[in-house]
Amino acid sequence: MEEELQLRYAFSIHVEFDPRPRLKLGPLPSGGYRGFIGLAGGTITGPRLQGIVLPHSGGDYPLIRNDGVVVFDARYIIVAADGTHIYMMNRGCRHAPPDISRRMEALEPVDPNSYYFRVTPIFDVAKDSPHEWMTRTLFVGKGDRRNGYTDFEYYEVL
Amino acid sequence: MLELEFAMEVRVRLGERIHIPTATHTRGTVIVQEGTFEGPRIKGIVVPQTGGDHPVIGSDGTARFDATYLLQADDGTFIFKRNYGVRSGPPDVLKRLLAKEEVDPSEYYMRLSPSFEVPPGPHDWLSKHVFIGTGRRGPQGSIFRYWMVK
Repeated sequence: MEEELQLRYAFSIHVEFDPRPRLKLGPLPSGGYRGFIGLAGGTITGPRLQGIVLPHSGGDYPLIRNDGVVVFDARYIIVAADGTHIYMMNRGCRHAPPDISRRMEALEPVDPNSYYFRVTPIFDVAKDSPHEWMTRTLFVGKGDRRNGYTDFEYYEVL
Repeated sequence: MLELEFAMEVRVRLGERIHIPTATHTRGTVIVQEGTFEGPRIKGIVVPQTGGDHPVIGSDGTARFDATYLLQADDGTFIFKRNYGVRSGPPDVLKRLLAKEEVDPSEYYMRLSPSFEVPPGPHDWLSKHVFIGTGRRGPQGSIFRYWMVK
């Protein structure tokens, strides 16, 4: 049935994290923890978009649920190669088997195929800009978290 | 590449649409009257009148969905569903959709990324994965087909 829904590789985003310590607030009265990590910058490459992550333009504010699932709520600004500013809001989740999770917490390298890390971003960009199509398109992506950075691959849902 | 696994088809009957033209956009609102859902791992009903869709409709006619309502699986489990997504297409096609005409779904783009809140147990795979899907709008309601992103 997969042929009903086609994906096409669109671009990759390499995000560098702020070296300041991550924050973890909680336990929250509503359950789980609220995290924060700032973004230092990054780069975007690929057939559909090229550019940079505007340095220090946002971060991720995940909810760390009691069942071990990290639910992302990331917001930051991209500057396309033509200078256009693009707002990005990224939702998704990550979870891993306990031993992989422990190694990720210790910032040790792990195989990106050993855990689940998937996202669906939303973009805002000026009307009549060459990137307006991004506001009318659904994307899905996968993440590969490393020490100090994460690499995302994004696909356009056709 | 990402692998997809078909998760479910959801059919909903929708009530009357109300459009609120604000200074920046049009806020739509529509209540889900009833429905059903079915997939290889789960099936059940859309609990009548437990929510609806409140899309933001831009000046180009593109709708961004923000829907919430409840599902109930056959074993009685309640599931909170939130549906984000987008519908876009040529202006005349979007106009025909709003006029409740039957429009071939290949004439417009309607894609969704739902999320689910469920109790721990047999259905909690719904709250641990990202889902994407397609939507088609008919005169009486909508049909959504969702895939789990593996």
